[in-house]
Amino acid sequence: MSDDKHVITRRDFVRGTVGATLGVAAMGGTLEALAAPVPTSHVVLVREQWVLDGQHAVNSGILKIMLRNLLTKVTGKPDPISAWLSLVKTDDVIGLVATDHLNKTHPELIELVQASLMESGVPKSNIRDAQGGPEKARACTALIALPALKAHWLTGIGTVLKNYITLSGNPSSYHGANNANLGEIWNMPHVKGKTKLVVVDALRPLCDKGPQPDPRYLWDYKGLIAGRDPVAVEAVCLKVILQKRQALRGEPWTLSPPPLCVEMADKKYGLGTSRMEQIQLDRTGWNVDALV
Amino acid sequence: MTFLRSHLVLNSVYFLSSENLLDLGPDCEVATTNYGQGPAKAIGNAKPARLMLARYANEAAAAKALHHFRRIYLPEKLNGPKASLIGDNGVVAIEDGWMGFARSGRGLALVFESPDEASARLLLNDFTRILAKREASRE
Repeated sequence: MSDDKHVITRRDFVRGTVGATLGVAAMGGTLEALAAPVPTSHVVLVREQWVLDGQHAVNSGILKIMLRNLLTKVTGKPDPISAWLSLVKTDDVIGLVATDHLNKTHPELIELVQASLMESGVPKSNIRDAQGGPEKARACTALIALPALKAHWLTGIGTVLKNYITLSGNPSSYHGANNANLGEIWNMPHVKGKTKLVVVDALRPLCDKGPQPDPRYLWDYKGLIAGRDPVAVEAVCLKVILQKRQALRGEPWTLSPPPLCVEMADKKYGLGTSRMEQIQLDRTGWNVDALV
Repeated sequence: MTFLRSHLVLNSVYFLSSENLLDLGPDCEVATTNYGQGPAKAIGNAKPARLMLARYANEAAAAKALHHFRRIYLPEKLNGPKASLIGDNGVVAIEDGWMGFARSGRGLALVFESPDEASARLLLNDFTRILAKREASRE
């Protein structure tokens, strides 16, 4: 019985999407709580129509402009240098955590982030690949998450939260329904508090299947999705994936396994908000088939 | 219509919980489908209810599964001052519509997202009758 309180049911999801007030009321919230302003997380969606050509090759010049727009919008700073310096220090050891499997982070994006950090005064020797194991994250003082947008056959969605699965040292323990616990990795001592920015490569996402990327489910979305709240960014990513799946099928097409990690990262691990009504989505650029 | 034995398969069709609330497994048979209710013209626009029919290895297993389901899925209806569900049959309003359950022997019928109480009860009555008839024909 003691574990019952951690079981997620369909009702939890319904409560989460119906609205914040229902949840507060169910918990016996006060009128003051109901009247309080809804906290928001800021997520930026930048899209450009010509960032990919007809063969899906990246135009690095346009991608650089997208990264600039993203950095200034996320931080409110006027340029990339001041944006980066509001997120990291020049003597930080910065780990870039990109995705290296299934639907990989485009190398052009990783290179641009690295170059942009160097232009901001971070020595090249202080910028490293932190994907692959806990010791890599342990050696860093700051992390930049650079996952690619995708559904995943083992965790439902395999984007922001799952991007740190190797940093746990025990990736397989988070597969299947246990994806609900992915948020705990972000609270591990060698990870907690280090993530300064999440930039999701949504240039050409994958909305289903695996273990190999099925070309039927890849599409040119031509976007970057970013923010400082990993759960809010993941919630926006999940909506894009689910909307694309619904568009393909003409009816709701659920993910399997269910992406429990998103709501649990909010409710159990306190990493951010998973509720769309608490997320301020700041869009810029191309708006065709944005899905959110 | 989907036939299944595993809660993981059930979750890919209709997510119910991260845990195996209905104690599904190799000894169970489950059929589930959406069911449009109301006049034929309205069905196209109406949100369908979700039906599940489960048959367990024996009556004790079905009763245990129902108890497990109610304890986790409907805790506020089972305990405390608002308790309204005891016994093997029940219909109750929850966040996404009317939800009901009915056990008959080793069979268990469940209805989710029904638009109203009467429809949920009607479906449960029909399906428990079907379950009982199938059991009788086997014996």
